[in-house]
Amino acid sequence: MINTPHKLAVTIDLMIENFHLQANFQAQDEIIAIFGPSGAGKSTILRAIAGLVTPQQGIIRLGEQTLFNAQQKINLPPQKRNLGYVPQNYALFPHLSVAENIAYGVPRHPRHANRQRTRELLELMQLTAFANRRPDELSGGQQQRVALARALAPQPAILLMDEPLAALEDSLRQKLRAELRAIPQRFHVPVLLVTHSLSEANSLASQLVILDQGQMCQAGPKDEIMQRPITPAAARIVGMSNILPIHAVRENFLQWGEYRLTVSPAPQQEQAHAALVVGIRPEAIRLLNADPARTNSFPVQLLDDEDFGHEHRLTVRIPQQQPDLEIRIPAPELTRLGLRPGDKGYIQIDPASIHIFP
Amino acid sequence: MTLPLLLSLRVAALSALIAAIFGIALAFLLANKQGVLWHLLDGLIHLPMVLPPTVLGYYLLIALSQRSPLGAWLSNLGIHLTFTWQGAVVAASVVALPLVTQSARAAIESIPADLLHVASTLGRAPFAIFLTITLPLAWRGVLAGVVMAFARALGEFGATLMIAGNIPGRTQTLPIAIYDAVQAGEAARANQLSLLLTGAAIVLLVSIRLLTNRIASRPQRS
Repeated sequence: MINTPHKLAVTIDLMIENFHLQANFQAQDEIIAIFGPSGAGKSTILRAIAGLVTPQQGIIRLGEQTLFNAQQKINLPPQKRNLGYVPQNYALFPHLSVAENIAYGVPRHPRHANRQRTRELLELMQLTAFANRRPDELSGGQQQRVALARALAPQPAILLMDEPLAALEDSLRQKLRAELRAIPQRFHVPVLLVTHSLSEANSLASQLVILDQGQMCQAGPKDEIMQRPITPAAARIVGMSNILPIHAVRENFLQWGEYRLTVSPAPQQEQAHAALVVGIRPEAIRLLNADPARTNSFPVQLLDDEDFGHEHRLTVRIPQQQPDLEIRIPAPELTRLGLRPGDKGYIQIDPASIHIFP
Repeated sequence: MTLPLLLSLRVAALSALIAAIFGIALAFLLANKQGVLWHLLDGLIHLPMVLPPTVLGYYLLIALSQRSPLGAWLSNLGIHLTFTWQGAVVAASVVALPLVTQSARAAIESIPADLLHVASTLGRAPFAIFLTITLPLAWRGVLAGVVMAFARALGEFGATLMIAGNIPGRTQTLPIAIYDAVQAGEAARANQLSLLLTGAAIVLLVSIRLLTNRIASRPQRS
């Protein structure tokens, strides 16, 4: 565990050309991911925290220190912010060796302390054998480790990483995901990273900040955001792709067109307004061959099957009902069911997995 | 023949050096500062590229003559810049300066901003970053600019003639000596001197090409 976690509090309002970015979140956790589609402004938030772009309005605090406060005209330069920054392409200094890259941010005097720290990091990152190589002689994974070591060398209060895995091949990603997850404990530093990949956000972070078109949708613990997004827009971004309009709220079920949806727990009285919308994650819908004769089971026709190798994304239609539903199902299970596009089957939705938007 | 050549080499080398020092300093300042005044300064540096050399030489003559405050002040310090070879250095430096700043700036601006951003988050001051990252990565472009400045200074004629005049053995540089030879009808001398300058120009051109080609073909990281 981190002994003295540095709480990061960010409130920013920033205009670049025609792009308006607004975000407001606090984070105090081991790995926080800013997640959203490309062009949402994720990297810009990172750069604003690092002091590389200046917001028009807002406050950025890290622990006890105010890095930026527009009203009080506080704007620490990047040099004074005590944070590590790893951009997407790593930005290793091409004319310096691996050891020189890592030593760059360590105070040069006393000299033995600088050497000591550099040697330590080379060892920790398993780079000792490459100390005298140039960055362009390294593999992608090694380059990332150099960038990490360089950012960690001055012992920053937080590590900012922009799309840490985007530049790597698939085979490397899994291995490096595990390495990234271990950073907060190995180096006693929290990590704020940016990613456009839901699976990366999911596997790396314990806290999420959801960003869409420059606007922050939601921030909080990962599981809460994944299961209970506050708006349909946030829901779509976190992969809760089935958004259903509800036509009426009854005593203990929801009227969805001609069908009844049972939810658990039962909807609150104050939720019984007209424009109720619910969300269901695609992996929460079970596909079956025969009618299970249980609550929330419906006949469907399989429309489309997209094969991702380990899992399939299916589109199914309940007769006379819109919208079509998306299901994610492991490959072996679909093989066992033997269903193909055009076939008829059944789905069953766990009442506890139906999320009613507030 | 050797006197104009030696004088030209001395003037061109000193001018290139002065243009290099000011050009690199300006490139650093212009890359780090923002504001209207810096834009104006940027424009002013480039004025000699479009201004007719005689006009530039005329302005320098007025500014540095003993009747102007600047010229009088320099004169009191014992520095005489009109009708001296040092004056030719001033003219050639002013003409050569934009070549250094342009080339240096193009090289500096081609450095990915991320490198400089990371360096700043690592706690290094802007000038330290300039010395440790910017210059080592941009040196070929800077050097190409300095070689161009040397070439331009070697061929400087109009502004030099205006401020330094045509005093054989004292301010008569190669291009002026050629003009002098043609005026005097000494075709053989004019030919010799012209060939000499042509040879120098070819050598300089090749070295510029070698420097700038290396920039273009520097291996890109995938």
